[in-house]
Amino acid sequence: MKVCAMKEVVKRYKEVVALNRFNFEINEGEIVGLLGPNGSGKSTAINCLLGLLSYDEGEVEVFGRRVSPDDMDTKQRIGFVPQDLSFFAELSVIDNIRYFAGLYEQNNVKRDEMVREAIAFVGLEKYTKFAAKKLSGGLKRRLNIACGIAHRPEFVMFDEPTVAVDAQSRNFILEGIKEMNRNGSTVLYTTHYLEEAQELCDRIVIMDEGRNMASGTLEELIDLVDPTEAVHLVLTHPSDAVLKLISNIPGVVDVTEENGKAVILLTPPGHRLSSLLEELKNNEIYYSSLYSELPTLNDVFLKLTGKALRD
Amino acid sequence: MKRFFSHMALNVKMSLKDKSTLFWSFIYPILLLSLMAVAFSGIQSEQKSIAVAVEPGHPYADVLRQIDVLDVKDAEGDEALKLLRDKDVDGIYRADGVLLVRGKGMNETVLSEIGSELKKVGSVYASGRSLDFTRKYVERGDQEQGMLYVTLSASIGMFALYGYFSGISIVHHVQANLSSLAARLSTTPISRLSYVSAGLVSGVAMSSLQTIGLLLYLKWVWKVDYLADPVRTLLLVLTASFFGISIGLFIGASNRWSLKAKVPLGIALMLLLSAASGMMGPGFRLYVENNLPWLNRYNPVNMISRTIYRLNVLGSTKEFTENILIFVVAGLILCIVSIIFMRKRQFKSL
Repeated sequence: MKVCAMKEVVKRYKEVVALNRFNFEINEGEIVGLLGPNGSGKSTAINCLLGLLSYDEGEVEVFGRRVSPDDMDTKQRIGFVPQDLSFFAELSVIDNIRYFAGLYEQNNVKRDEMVREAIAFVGLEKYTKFAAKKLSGGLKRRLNIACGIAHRPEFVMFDEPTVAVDAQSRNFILEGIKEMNRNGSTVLYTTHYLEEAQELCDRIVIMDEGRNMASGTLEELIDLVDPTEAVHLVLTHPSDAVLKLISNIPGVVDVTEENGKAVILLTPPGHRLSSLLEELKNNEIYYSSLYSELPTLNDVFLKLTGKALRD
Repeated sequence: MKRFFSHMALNVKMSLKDKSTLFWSFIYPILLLSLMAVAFSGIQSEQKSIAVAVEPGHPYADVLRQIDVLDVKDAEGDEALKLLRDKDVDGIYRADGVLLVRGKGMNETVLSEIGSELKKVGSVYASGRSLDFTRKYVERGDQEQGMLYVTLSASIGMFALYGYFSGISIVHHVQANLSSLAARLSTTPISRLSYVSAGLVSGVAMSSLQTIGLLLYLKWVWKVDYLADPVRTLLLVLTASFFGISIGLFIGASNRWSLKAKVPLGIALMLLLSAASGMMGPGFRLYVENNLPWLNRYNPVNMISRTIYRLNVLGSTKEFTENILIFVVAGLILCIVSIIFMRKRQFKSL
């Protein structure tokens, strides 16, 4: 079942086209990553899904209904964790979460249970009485998340929740999202950190200049761009003859060498390294060190858009 | 209804936990009023001992004799000059209307102000409508009127409108294009009407409590009784607070300026209206009343300060009902327009 869909959506800010015939959908139970550099239109897409922003063309649906700011039933089923810290700074951690949970659940017993769960979920048990403004940056991020997920939403949208977060809190957040997904929530996660998208998402949508450049699993995306695996060798006796021998090994598509350091490109990635090593041994080609780089989302992004993800 | 109370509790908690709100709402007004009370009560006590010679032909000789702060000695010509030279008097109101003083000082300034006000007000002065610190001589009242009263009542008028700040804060919590918190709240099933109403009620309650607290402080500490007619005064304070918040709602919802612009705008507006009402001294107020009488008639700070003064000092209910109605009707109109501005909608940009 589709949880949300955007069809041919166009959103303009005066002359700037933020969404350019953007197509996108999420199925129930998925964690979908919306990956793109700053300014690619990720937040605009989320804000259209949330009914906050109007759009010029196309269709936006959540749970099969056209998005509307008056649709309380849909709002009841979704959660949103914004990029900016958005809670009541003067209030304590527990008062904030209680207030947000209370917007969805009026039964105090159920609400308090949700609040307890949310606090445990983000690991803020020791800080419940702290004023939100007194928390560290990472803990504020956790509170920001707790306020958005306390009501156990069916569909949660995270808009770059790990920006400016320390490694520990970041891992905590990512693990928490996986846990939510295991508990039945569908997740839309926007980020410009490719490692996060790789680690977390079942499916990734690559976005640039308001367009959906490609989407699929990590493997599907990598297959899209005819990728190679780069094997870096420090040769003991580099020579043209050695390089020629290497270039004739099955799977090798290119070899370059400089100051004894060779880079061998293999295809398909992830399958040829052991046979390469075998062939090197058989041809008595000796090396002092070796490491291999599999293709990443950044390579995919580079090939699709002509620029690196963090440009 | 449960959510309404939850929003109210949120607003009250935020106000009570925000130290800057507490300071500006409760501590600062007390500090300011205390400073004013000290400053102006000093002037008042000095005024009581200002000796002045009045020549018999002075056009307002009779009025001058009735002013308590003046110790009038009838003298003319050389006799008056001798009193001045011998420092028996601080000034001479000559028959030709000229004030002659020995030098510059507080007493001379007061004599000069009285003299110039008498000239400006002219015949209007006789009816006592334009210069508050002389009112007691022409209107019935059981307390002494003076600069202290004018200044304090204008300050109370200003503080009674402090709800403005609650008003803009409410809008910045629900209007998605004004803050990230509002954007977030707009994605929840929150009822805007409920949130705004709760903010309005808690804001009126907080603002009224603050003003009543100030009035009690003035009564108990400075013996200035602005609660002689407590019921009408409370009604005035409640409606004025409602009006103050509704201005905040309107200014908050009608444009996309940031809080950094809206807060100083409110402060500047209130200071201007308070100055026109006499908070900085009677001079500017008199200027406004003489040149822009309509401004002070509908200046909310002046409406509050004038009504508080009349109710509690003069025992008069003049303009009370009219002012209450103006506050309620204008407040309702502003609230309705603001709610229209704040209606749920999708924005072109956030």
